[in-house]
Amino acid sequence: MCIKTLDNVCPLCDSIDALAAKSMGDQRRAACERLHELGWPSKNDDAFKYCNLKEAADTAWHLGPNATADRGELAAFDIKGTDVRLIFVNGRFDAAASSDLPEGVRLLSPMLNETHLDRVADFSDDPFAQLSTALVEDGVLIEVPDGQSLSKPLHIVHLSSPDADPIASTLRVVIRLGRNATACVLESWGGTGPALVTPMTEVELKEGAKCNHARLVEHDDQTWHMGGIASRQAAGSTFESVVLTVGGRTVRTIAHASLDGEGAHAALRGFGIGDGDRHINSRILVAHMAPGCTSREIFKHLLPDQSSAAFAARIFVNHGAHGTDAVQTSRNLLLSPDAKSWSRPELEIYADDVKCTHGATTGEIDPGALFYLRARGVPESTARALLAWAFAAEVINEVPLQSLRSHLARRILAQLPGAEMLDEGIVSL
Amino acid sequence: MSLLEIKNLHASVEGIEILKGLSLTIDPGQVHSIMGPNGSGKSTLSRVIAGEETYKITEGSVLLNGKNLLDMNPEDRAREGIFLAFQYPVEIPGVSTKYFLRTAVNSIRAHRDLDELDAYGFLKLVKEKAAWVQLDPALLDRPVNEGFSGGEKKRAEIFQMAMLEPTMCILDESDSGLDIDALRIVANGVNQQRSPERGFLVITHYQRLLEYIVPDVVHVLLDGRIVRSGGKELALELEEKGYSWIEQEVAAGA
Amino acid sequence: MPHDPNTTLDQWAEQSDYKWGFVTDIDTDTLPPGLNEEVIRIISARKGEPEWMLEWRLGAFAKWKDMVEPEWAHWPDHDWRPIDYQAISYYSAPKRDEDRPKSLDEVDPILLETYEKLGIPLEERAALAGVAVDAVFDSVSVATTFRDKLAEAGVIFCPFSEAVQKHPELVKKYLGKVVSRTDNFFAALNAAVFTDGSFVYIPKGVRCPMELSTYFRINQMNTGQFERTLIVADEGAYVSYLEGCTAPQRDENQLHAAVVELVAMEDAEIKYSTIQNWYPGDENGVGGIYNFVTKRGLCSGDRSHISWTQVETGSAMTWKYPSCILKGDDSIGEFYSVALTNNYQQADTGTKMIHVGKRTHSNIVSKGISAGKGHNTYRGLVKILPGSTDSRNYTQCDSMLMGDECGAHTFPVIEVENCTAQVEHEASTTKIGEDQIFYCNQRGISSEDAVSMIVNGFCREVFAELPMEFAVEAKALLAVSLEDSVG
Repeated sequence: MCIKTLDNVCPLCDSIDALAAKSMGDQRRAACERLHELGWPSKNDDAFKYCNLKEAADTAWHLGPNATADRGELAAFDIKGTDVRLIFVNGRFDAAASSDLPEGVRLLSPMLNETHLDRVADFSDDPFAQLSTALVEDGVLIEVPDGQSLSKPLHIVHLSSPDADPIASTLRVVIRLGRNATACVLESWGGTGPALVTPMTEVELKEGAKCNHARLVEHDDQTWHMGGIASRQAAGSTFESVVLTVGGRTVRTIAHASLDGEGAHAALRGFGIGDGDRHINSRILVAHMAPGCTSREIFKHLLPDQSSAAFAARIFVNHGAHGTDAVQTSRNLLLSPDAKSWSRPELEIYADDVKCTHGATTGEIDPGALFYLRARGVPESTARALLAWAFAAEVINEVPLQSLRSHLARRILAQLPGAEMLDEGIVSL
Repeated sequence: MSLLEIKNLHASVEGIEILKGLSLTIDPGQVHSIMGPNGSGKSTLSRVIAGEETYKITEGSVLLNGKNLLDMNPEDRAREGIFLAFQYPVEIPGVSTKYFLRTAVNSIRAHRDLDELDAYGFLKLVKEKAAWVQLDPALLDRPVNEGFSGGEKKRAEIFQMAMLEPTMCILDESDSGLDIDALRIVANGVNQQRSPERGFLVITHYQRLLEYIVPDVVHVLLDGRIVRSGGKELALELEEKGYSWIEQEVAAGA
Repeated sequence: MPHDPNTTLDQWAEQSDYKWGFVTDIDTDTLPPGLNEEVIRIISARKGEPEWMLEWRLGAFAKWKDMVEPEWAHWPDHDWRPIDYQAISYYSAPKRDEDRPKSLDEVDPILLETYEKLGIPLEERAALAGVAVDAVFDSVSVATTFRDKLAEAGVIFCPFSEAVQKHPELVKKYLGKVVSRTDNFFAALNAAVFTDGSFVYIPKGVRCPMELSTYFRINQMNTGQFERTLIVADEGAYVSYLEGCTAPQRDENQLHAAVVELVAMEDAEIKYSTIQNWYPGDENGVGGIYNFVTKRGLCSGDRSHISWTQVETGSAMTWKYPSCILKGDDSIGEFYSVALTNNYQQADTGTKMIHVGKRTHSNIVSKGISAGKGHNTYRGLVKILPGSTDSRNYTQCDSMLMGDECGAHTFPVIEVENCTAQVEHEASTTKIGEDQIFYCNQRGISSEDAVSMIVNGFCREVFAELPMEFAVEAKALLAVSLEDSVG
């Protein structure tokens, strides 16, 4: 079925055929075909210009084996206050390790032939979104009726666990909230590599609904994480999403937020810390289709070692989307001579009564602040770490749940040079 | 002839009637004050006189020196002599206050068949008038109202009034947000401009401004109509008893 | 000041009488349309060029034939008519070219009148004090003023074709060093067919005693204009240079593909200002110039300084990214731009700042004003290379929209590969508030004047960078009077 050979992906094609025989036959085949049409992204591909995928291109990917989660390993993903936990390993549900499904939450596996997938955004130009659709075996459907709430934050944990071969796996999260309904959903992505994971979350919000979403990326350094987040919002709804990268080799997120109804609000945030040659890549489109919508984007990266970050975001303001208020910010702190950052903050505006601003800064730690701390007796390395944390805090402080903020603080401080003297008490709100 | 004559003025915004038959006559040299609770239509009146287009005039007339203001656009009203000291002066980034004012002064002078002021004459005037309200001339090199404190904005408005030499001055809550010293400065600036030809309409929520700018007539505006007029003692009475007693009397009379 | 109380924002935006739309009836020597090696040989022969120049052109042409026209930037409203490169005439010169005027007295009086109409008096006495002018009519330089005075200072300011004859060593040394003859599609086309332009050389330690300026004028129908400008400021030299452009009103789109190369040696400074007022097309988007220009400066020596300032009000479509390569340590690059698009105009402009040397600074201020169905795009690159330590960039991109059918777009790329760099980019979008207009009206200022004033305030940082004489012209072009609100 391959039109064009993709050495690294073609080993998956038999598996995709097998999956297609069971569910989503046409959809999977179309996605696979499109993936081959698009080909494996190269550096000449504008959307992947800064993404080093060469090693992933030289790896032959396979479907992951059936496996269960290791209890000890799972403990590392504990976040207090999220008693409802659903565990997936290599894209499949681990019932034994998971809580009971709460009301309004169902597994996608028995419903894959229904039209739940790929209805929110058009990711047809993204090969990894195609891979996600071609490979999806399970996921979570969260449907909250009008006026109701998901009682507790839902925590979805996905682990990759390869055996002999490098694996490709995915998981789909579909969130649909009725009028004035609310939900808080956390995703943790972890496990060991070599792995290629393609998370995809689709969010549809009716009038006045509120959704809080966080995705934690905590893989080891052999994992390519190529994710997507799509959202579509009716009038007066609110979507807050944050991607927190504290692990992984290359971590890429494409997000499309469509503000379709008057007065909708979207806040898309990102924080990432580099480690080794980790690359963090965000490609964001916020479309203001209706009047009076607001959007906030803030992406911050702390970049030590040879790590790098790329941020490409566009605010689109449609004809007639008056009263649009959009802010887009990208800030990078380079902590080492070998770190790099790239930013492309873009505006595309077709209405005059709008307030759109964007800002991008890249730099090093402010010497004045550093001096101030040192003059108060703080050692230089600690002072640097402290200021680096202060830089991150603007995003971390917006993360839902105190326990999640503390969890992140531990992860970040563990990777931040000079942070030995600091602890999670640094999270003070 | 009266300076400003408003007869049976009805004005509405987005279909809601705010002014419901307001009448008011101000003679040259007089200071009138309009007091009233929030939402009674005070600011609307000032903006309708100045010609803001969001308000729809459904009935009535406004004459300045016998000329129909309602037929004029805002700049012509200003050129005829209307000056509104805004409650919230607008910021205009990138345009220095000096430049802005020179443009305004010369537009008005042209209308009055006076020669344009040259740079020297203009700066001399600026210096003189700025002193009236103790305005730091350095502020005038900044963009219009940008980065001004609340008090500076109010003083700058009174300064502009002095520069443009209007015949009918309307002060829209020029006292709001001012401490007592700033209030005195603003009031002093206004008092210096009182003259037998010039009329003032002082819109305020509180009596205290009127201790410094003593009015000839005080009007109470309630629900879009003037329901009572009297001397400056009426202001004191309002200060003491609030507006409710008038509301009750009006309701009883109705 | 005109007072029309009834002018609304939209009307103001629509008012744009192109006063420079006349055609000069003059005898010209024009090649028939078409492009091939033969045409290039003819151009070269007409110019009496040496062999190396012809070879250089042919090399560019050979490459150009294999290149593809870029099409990255046009917006939906515009009726893009593809350029037929074989339908353009690549050489048009006033007939008198054979016996080129030795002095202004010999310049065709009709030409002098044309420049008079443009507001550019070529007569030295009448010329603005302190400004030397080179006038390029269609493809040929017709008059250069103040040459003697400049020669005294050792400054070379002459038509490019003359420089090829008289200063071949300088031309050979710098031509194509900043913008190579195969840099891009339009640059290659220019290298193959360029007919004239200005050449400036400021020797070591010389501060050019006056502003230099070139006025470009496209007159002939179906011609393209392909001028090439090369400015070299030797060690410690300083020059301020201005170009202005106009064209007659025609229904066809005409192509202007110029190349400008600047070289600043150690401690040298070049200030390059442009007032671009090519014919923009009519209110229905018919006609107008396609203005596809490559401009690049090399800050070659330490502490060198290149500054680009542009006011872009004309052309149906503009693609132009005056750039700086900051090679010398402590060198400085600047870009100040005002672009106004109205009706169906599209401007896609910006800059590239490539930081190579240590402690290099760049500053970018871009002001885009969109009205009617115009589209205004800022497209830029700031790149800090790994060896460029302690470098700084500050970028500010502001857009102003007037009306509902225009567009304003900002597409910056920021690449930082050195951790000691400080790079800041800010952008904002504004409209003229009805409350601002009302406030001005209340102070007796007409809506039209209020709009002018606010637009000028919006652009003031850029106007402040223009030489005094030309700031006035720029402001007039934006239909404004500015006077002392600048600075």
